[in-house]
Amino acid sequence: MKKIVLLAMAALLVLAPALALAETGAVKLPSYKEYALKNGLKVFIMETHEVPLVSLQLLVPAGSATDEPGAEGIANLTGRLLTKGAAGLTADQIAESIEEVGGAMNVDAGRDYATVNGDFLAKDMGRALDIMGKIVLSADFPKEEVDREKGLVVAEIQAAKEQPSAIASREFMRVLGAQHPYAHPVDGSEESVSSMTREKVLAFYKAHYVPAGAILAVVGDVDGGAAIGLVKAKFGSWHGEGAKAVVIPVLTPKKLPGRTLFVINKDDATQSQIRIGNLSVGRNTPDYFPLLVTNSVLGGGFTSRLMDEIRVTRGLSYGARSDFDQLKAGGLFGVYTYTKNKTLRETIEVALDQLKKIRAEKISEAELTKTKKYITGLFPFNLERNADLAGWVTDLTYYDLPLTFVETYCPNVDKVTPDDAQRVAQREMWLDDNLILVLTKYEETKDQLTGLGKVETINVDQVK
Amino acid sequence: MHVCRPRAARPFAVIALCALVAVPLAFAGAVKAGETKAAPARLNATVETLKNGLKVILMEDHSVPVISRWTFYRVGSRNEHPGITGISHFMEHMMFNGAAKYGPKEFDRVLESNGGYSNAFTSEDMTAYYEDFASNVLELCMDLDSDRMKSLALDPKYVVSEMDVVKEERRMRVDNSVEGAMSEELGALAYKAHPYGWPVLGWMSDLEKITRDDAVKYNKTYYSPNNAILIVVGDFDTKKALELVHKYYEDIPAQTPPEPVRTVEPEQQGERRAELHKAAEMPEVFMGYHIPDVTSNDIYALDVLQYVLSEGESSRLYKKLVRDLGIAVYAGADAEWRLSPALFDIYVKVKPDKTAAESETAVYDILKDVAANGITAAELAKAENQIAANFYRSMQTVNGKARKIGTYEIFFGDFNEMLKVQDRYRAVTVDDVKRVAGRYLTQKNRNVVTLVPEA
Repeated sequence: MKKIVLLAMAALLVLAPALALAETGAVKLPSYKEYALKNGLKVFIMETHEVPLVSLQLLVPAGSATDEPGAEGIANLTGRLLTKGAAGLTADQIAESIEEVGGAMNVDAGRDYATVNGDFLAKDMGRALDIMGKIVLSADFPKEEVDREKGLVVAEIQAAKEQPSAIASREFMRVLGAQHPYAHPVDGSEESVSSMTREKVLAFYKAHYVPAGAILAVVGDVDGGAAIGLVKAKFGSWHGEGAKAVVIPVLTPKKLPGRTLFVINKDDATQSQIRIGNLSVGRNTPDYFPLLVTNSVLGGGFTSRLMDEIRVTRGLSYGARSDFDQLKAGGLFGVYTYTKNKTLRETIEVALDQLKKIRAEKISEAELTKTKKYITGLFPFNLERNADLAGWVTDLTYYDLPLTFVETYCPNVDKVTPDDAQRVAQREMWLDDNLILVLTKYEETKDQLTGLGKVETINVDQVK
Repeated sequence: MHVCRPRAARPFAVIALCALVAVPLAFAGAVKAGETKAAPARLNATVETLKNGLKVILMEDHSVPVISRWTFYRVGSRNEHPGITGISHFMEHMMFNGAAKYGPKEFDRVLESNGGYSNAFTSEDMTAYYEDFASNVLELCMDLDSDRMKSLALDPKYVVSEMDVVKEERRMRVDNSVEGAMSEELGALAYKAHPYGWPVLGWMSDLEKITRDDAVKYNKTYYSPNNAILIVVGDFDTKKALELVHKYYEDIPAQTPPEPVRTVEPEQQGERRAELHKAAEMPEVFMGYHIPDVTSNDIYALDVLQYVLSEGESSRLYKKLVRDLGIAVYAGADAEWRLSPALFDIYVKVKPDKTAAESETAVYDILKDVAANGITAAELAKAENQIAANFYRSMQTVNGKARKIGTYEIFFGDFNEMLKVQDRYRAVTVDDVKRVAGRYLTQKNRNVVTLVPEA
């Protein structure tokens, strides 16, 4: 093993263009081949030859939005258990097989989908696909591993309560999402995870780990023909018996009159976390680019309005940003910042003023141009690594978007007008009907927080 | 955005090591993949030192139409003294707040409106500033960076507001973070004399008192061309880039070289322990063992040991503490690379129903086993493969390559050392790992901080 790697280390890495810069200045994906296996699995093979590595990403539509009520976190637990026993191999054998060649493989569950990610030296592509095939097609879920992993997830949920920023963000989505399957944290709650059994995990796996809807990308310093041959050998026998169709109900942003102030009390907090926002549109919105540009003006780069007003001008925080979290069936708009307890109200007011301004006043051509140049200038940096490229391919395909999205990205950014920006700001960045969530030492900040909206309070130990 | 890296903070541990195990992408001379040939002795980069002492390293890489430009300064918290702790990191922030040509707010405004991104970090040993941008704005970035090297304003108004920003950063990273507070406690426990004992972020009481005059003096001493390294990696023409370097940096005057750090940490004479009482959900243990500075040949065996202990789910700490005993949520290790003698850190986040003592015993059993019986040949081979793969992972971007060149310049004074480092990893034997475990990871040499959770 060691000898083979030494050869690779001594080898010259040929520098080849990973990205073609066309005369128009358009950034494109490297060339790739697309396949559809008979069982429904979509496969993309992309050759890049800058470093002797290969990245694999398998997307399966098995995110936390498919958790059944009462079983919140089962998608995450199932994903984590794939590497803990498969095709008769133990968890230790699987880990050893991945790591002895310097490889890495993990399963990452999100809200819409889960991804199985592999990162190996290119010479080990065969091994990587073999292991990935085994854990995805033939996971065993040994009972002692299910119990161990449950204990670990529960402890991690408890550990997250030590992180003010993490608690605030978890609760922000939970409060906004209410009963929707997007509302609960991906890893579930201590209670829901504790109640899971091997049988429930197995049932989830059979229903959701199926080839129909799954997308595999292989990106790296490999021979494309060899790669698709291996993919067919390892994934061709994947079948979809027991498949359960996934339909995530549409998350409708319902406007309730008036603002809500949700307070999480943490007695030892010397700094308050702030989240301001509302439910919003999903990833397939035709307003993707107007929202991207408008959000960047408000809270994107270092010169965004929120950063400038909160950090640079007033020194109220180390960070202030906003973003649209866009998923298949809906999304979320949020402003994220924090400040010392003493300046909590002042910081909230500065943020609200900026929401008010971006809704009321058209963005100047100059500011819009600056923001567009920032977005388009940095875009190529999103395409440098094999894993980034694999991520673009699977993500775009999952959301039914063409891969030409990448080359039309910058021109589409450039098309956004001040009118577009104001239109989407007024529609998707709410002001008087939004949610303000703070995590703070309430006893110390209560007097500052009057008159912001209907108040709901919980203590940090009540966070699920 | 302008981040700093507090000591031994867990999420940075692996990244920090990845950044250090490196060989270059652009060798001089062609060898095909798979062919055996010893690595060349030098990288294919252009090096020139200007008359004012600024060392310039340019490496072309045309794989993507982008450039990463860095300035590394040989200054970090090790150059501070009580009363001004945190000033290196504060200066990192102030470098974005105006100079003679580009006033307050202009640096980022001009850069972003030209499609660029900037950031910086401060550590115990170095401060580094970078911009990532499209190929056609290299001249602008040199103009921006040389302006602040030449004529930093330190506008009194922004000295005040930026210090508030830094205090918020400290509140976030330390005061309201269990891991941040634990790291700070371990540093203060392990070092009696050396400046590594205080945090990069500085003590809050110093942040309250640092003045503009302190900053002016510090700036003059440390942020001079003769204390800096300029690195450009990416899609540019070396000849033209060198002309720009001369145009923008040549007239910046050199300063008297800074005094070297004098204090040497005395040898530890026995175990030191501390408790931290803090609101938390579960216990935690941070341990630090004194190890030599980065120029010691033992560093490579210690790195291999770090991989054997904590890289991946087949590592010894994970297998024993997380899987077999079920004591920990996670367990990790980090062999620090530093200019002065440093620490080998081990950290365990203990499950709520388990104790810090149980996890300590489990860790010590593992360390005793390595010291007595060494590691296996398979473990050594695995660690070397992981080190090799992590090197390539960190070299996929122009930013990663430039960062590595700068880091090696700071640590070794020559970025070509990164080639020799690979040979040194390959020379490590199982006996070397056994020897360094027995020599450094001893009870007498250890510092232990345990977290006592409070409701």
